[in-house]
Amino acid sequence: MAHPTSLGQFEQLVLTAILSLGDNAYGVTIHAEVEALSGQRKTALGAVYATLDRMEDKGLVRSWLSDPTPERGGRAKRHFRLEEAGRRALRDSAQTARRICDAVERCWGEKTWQTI
Amino acid sequence: MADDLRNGRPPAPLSALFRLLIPPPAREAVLGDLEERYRSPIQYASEGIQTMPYLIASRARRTSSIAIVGLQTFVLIACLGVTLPDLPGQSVPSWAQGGIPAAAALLALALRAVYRGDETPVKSGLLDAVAAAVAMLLSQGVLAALVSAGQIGADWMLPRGLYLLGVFALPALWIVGAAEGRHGARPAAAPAEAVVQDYLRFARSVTARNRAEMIALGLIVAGSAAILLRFNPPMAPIAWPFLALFVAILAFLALRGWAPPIPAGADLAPLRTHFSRELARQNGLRGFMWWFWFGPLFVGLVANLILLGIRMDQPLRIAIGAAALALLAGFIARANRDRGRAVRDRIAALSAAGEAASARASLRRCSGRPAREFRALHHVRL
Repeated sequence: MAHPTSLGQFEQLVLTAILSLGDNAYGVTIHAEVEALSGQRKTALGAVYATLDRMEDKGLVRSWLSDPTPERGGRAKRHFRLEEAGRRALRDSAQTARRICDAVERCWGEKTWQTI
Repeated sequence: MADDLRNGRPPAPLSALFRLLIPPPAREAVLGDLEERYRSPIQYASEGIQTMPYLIASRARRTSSIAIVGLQTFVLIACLGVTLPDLPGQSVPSWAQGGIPAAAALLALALRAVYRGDETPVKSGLLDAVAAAVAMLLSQGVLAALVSAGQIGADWMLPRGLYLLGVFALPALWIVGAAEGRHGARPAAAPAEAVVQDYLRFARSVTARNRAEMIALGLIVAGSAAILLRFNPPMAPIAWPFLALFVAILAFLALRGWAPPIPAGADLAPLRTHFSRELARQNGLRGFMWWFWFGPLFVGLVANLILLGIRMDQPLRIAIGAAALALLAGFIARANRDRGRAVRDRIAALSAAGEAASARASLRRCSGRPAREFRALHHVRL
């Protein structure tokens, strides 16, 4: 099996947002979830679109247009879902993050998370 | 606007502006997202403006190929005299005179790539050439206005003689836009009936591209012959054999450039073999045509940069010439490699298509114009 694609931090956030939103993952909701995951740090909507495009080109996510909805002026939503390569990449990143957390805890103790 | 505010909807003029500026594939979804997030006209305008650069950059990344942009750059450099030696007393160097319209044309081509809709490759190439021509003329218009206002000297304008050479850039840009690009690499569909339709699409695109190349070649041959006969320049002894080669290639394209009809009564397996063989043949022909199209440019770079550099004892000119030759060869090789990869993928997809269904069955299921056209063109027995 090919080694999972390595992800940047923002890509990890976007993939996690898509994973947690499930069927409701589209531009607006992904952006809101990314801001929530990044600790309410302000994120440009355009940066989310650009990252989604890049990840679609890499085969990590897939997108499709939904039917138009009235609350959006009759415009379609571009929905996203994780592809198998995206799942593998996210799992790999999460395992790395867990190892980092463990190492930090070993050095600074479990209480270190309370100060962040 | 007052109605829009009352309705909690974005102001119509702003929406119309964003509709114009957002690249077509992202337009509907992004406009919908912006509308869903609408709180006030200022918030809407600010968010839309902030989003635009990301969308344009992302679209440019997705639609541009380094090889194609590189080849377009070389065409413009060659046809606008960027590499020409400076004349004695020339206050603005040739690279600047030609570089300004070339940069304007490249910007126009980049924007074309971003805002390109669903066009056929030939139309796309033609619109590329028109956009580049308009941008070059606009850049000269702006310079002319600055000259007449006394802001800059008249030497900043492109010399009149180069306008004639610049015209040659247009068929070359047309060919670069028509013959390559990501839109050309459509994956082969797996269902049997789709193979037939896919071959028809492929044959139509080959016909259109072949016709475009023949027209461009014809224009170049006629224009060059007229210049050679009228002015008999010192390079005429080299140019005539080149023109003869162009005519030979034109004849070859006329006779062998088309995708041939499928043998009568072809079943699915021979149809796929025929399609794969033709894809590979057209890929080889394309590879050869790229080197052929840019052959004169190699000669021009050697003459204008390397040989002139040796004669004028300018090592920098020689080094730039050598680098330009390597870069041009690299771009052509890259364009061929990219297309070769897409063709291999397409042949692999064809091979993977189901073996069970026959072309006869696929044609029976197939309805509408493609099937009728297929039968008429290829005399398939039903």
